[in-house]
Amino acid sequence: MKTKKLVVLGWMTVLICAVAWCVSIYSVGPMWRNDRAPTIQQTASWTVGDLTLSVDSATSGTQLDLGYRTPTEAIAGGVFVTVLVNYSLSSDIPQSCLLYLVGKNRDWWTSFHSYGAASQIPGGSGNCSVVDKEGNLESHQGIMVAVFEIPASALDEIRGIRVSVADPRQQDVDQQSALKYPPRVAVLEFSLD
Amino acid sequence: MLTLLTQTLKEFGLLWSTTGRTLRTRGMTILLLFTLGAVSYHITILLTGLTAPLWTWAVIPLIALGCIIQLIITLAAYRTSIEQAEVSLGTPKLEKLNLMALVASLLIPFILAYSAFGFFDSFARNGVLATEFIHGMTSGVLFLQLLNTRGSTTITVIVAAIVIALWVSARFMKAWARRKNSALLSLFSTFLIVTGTILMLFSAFRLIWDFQQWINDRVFMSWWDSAVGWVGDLIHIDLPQILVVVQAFLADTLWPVFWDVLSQPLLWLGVVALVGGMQFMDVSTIWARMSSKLNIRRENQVLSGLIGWIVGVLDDVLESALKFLHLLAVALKAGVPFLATLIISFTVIEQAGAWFDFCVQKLLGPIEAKAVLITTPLFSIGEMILVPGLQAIFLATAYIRLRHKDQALSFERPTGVNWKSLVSILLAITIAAGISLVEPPDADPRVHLELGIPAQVMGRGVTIDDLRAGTSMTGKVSYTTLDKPITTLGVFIAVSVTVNCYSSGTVRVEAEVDDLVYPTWSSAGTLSCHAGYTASADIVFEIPREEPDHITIIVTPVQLFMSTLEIGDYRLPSTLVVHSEIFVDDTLVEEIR
Repeated sequence: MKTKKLVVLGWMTVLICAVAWCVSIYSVGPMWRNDRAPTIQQTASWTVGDLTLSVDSATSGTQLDLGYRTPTEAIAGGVFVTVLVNYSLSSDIPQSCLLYLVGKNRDWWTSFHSYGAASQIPGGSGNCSVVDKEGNLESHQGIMVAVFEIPASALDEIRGIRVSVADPRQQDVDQQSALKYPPRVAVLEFSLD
Repeated sequence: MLTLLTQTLKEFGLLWSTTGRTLRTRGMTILLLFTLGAVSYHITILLTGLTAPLWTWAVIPLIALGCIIQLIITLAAYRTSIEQAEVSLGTPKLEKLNLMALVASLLIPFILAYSAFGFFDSFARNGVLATEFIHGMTSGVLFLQLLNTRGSTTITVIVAAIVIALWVSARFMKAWARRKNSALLSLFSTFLIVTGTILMLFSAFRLIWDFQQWINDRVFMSWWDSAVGWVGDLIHIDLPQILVVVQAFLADTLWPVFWDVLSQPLLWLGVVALVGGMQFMDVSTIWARMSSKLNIRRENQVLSGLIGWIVGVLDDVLESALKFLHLLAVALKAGVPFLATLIISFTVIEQAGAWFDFCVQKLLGPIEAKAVLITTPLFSIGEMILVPGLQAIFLATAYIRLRHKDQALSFERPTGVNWKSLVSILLAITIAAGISLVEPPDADPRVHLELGIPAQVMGRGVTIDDLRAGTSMTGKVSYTTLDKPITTLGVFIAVSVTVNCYSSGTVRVEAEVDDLVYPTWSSAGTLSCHAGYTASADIVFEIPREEPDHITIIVTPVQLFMSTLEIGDYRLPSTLVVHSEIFVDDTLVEEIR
C-alpha cells in the first residue's frame, strides 16, 4: 500500500514538473516573447518606463515620397505600408525601439526607406528618440516613421505593429549584466487607412 | 565449441527470462524511478539556462545537485532490480547497505563513468541550448567564456583553492557525519565532493581542449610531418601512410569495440555489483600485501609513510580502478557463456534505444525552432528512461547470476583460459560490434525534389531548376563578371534554386556524395527571403569528374535552434551531359510572385 502511494506520488511529481517545464519555457523564452506580447487597442497608448507610444496613422500605397523628383515605386506585386507612431518621453534618457509589421503568423522588418520617409515628415525620425552628437536628447516627443515593403496580397492580414523597446539600463552595463534587462514588447493595433 | 554455444544460448535464455520476470513485477517502479531521474536532469538544465549567464559559477553546484539526485535515483532502481532478481533466481540476500553510505562509496565511480560516457558533454550542450533559448543567441558564448577555469592565472588559482577547500571540508564533514550518524551531513559532504570533482573536471576539459588546439596547430603539424617523414626515410618505409592506416584502425575499429562493446557493460555491472553489496578488494589490503612482498619494513618510516600518503590521497580513484579489475576477473571467471551473453545483450539494449530514439524523431519531427527546447525531454525518453531502465534490470540479473554461481565473488586470477574460450569471446565481441554497426539512419524526413517542380520543405517552397554541368564556366560570380571562362579539372555543377517564403526564412544548399558534403563553389550557400517573397540564385559546386552521376543536392532549412529538420534532396540524373562551358549568375534575385 505504501509503495503504491509512493508510485502515485512519483507520477504526480513527474506531471507537475512537466507542466512547470512547459510554463517556464513559454514564460521566459525570447522565441515565445512575441506570443506573450500584450495587444494595445488602436485608440490606446502604451507606456513602458519613461516612454509612451501610440499609433498616429498607417497608410499603404505603391509609391513612396522620399523627397526625390519622382516618387519611389514598390517592387512588382508589392506595396509600401507606412506607419507613424507618436512617442513622448518623461525623462532625459534616450530610448531605442524596433518595429515589426505583424501579419498572420508572420512579420516584416522595417525597410531601409524608413529614414528617408522620416526626413519628409516634420518631427519624424527612424527611432523613438532623437539625440545630438553628444548623445543628448533633442526633444521629449516626436513621430517615429516606419516603412515596410510587403506583398500586396498580405495587406488584408495586417493587424498592427510590434514594438520592441530596449531597456535603457542596458546602456551602462556590461554584456553579462545587460542580459538581466530583456526588451519590453507589445503589439499596437491599427487598421490601414 | 558446440557445447560452448549451447551453454551461451542457455545462459542467454536464463538471463533474459529472469529479466522479463523482473520487468513484469517491478517494471513500472523502475520506469518511474528513471523518469524521475530524467526529470531532475531536465530541471537542472532549465535552471542552468536561467542562471548561467547571470551567475555563471552557480552552474557547478547545480550540476552537482542534479548528479546526486540522479545517483540516488539510479541506486534505488538498481536496488529494486537486484531484490527482484534475488527472488527470481533464488539467491540468498546480502545485508542491505545504508543508502547514504552507498552514495558515498559510489560517488567517484559514478561520476567517472558519467564523465567517460558523455554525460557532461551532453549536459554542456543542452545547458548552452537552454541558455541561448532563454537569454538570446549571444548568451551561450558568453556563458562558456565566463565559465573558463583557466581564463586567467587569478581564476586558476581561485579554482584550485576552492577545489582544495571543498575537498578538505568534505572530509571533515564526512567524519562529523559518521560521528553524529547524520544522513543530512553525509549528503552535504557528498554534495561538496561532487562540486569539487565537477569543478576539477571542467578544468580538465579545458586542458584537453588546449592540448587539442596545440596539436592541431600548424606549427606542430608541420613539425610532426617532418619528423615522421625523416624517420620514414631513415628506415625506408612509407611511415606517414602506415601511421594513417594504424590511426584509422585504432580510432575507427579497435577503440569503439573496446569502449562501447567491452568497457560499458563491465563498468555498469561493476556499479550494480557495488549496489548489490559485493565485497571488493580495498586499497589497504593490497598495500599491506605489497608492503610485505616488497619487504618495506616498518623501520623505513619515510618510504612507508610517503607511499601511505600517496595511497591515501588517491584513495577514491584507486578504489574505483581496483573494483573494475576485480569485477573483470570475476566476470572472466564466470565463463565464456556469461561474458558473451553480457556483451551481446548490453549492445542489443543500447541499439534498441537508438532505434527507439529514431522512431520518436520520425514521429515528432520536423521541429520548428521555437519548439526545440520544450521538446528535448521527449527525445531523451529512450536514452534516459528506457535504456537505463532495461539495463538496470538486466545488469542486476547478471550480477545475481554471478553470485548464484559463486557466493564469495572473491578476486582470483582467471584460470582455464584456452583457445576455444578466446575464439568464443572474440566471436561474441564481433557479433556485438556487428550489432552496434546497425545504426538507425538519419531521422530527418526527406522531401524528394524534381527538376522544375516546387515542393514544400518545412514551410518553404523550394524549386530546383536549370541543371547544368561543364568543365568551365562563365557569367557572373560573387558580384564579378568573369572576363574569361574558369576551368576545372573536375566538373562544375550549377542549378537554379528558388525559395518561396510564407514567413521569412533561410535555406542552405549543399551537394552530397555518400557521406561527403561539398559546399558551394562561390556564394555562402544560403538563400534567405522575407515573408511573402521569393529568392532565387544559381548555386555552383565543383566536384571530382567521377562523381556527377551519384551526387545529391541537399536543401536544409536554417533555424536558430535545430533538432529534427525536414530536408529537400534532388538526385542528379545518371544521364547528365557535361558541356565544355556553362553560364552561371549567382546574383540573388528577390521578388514577389
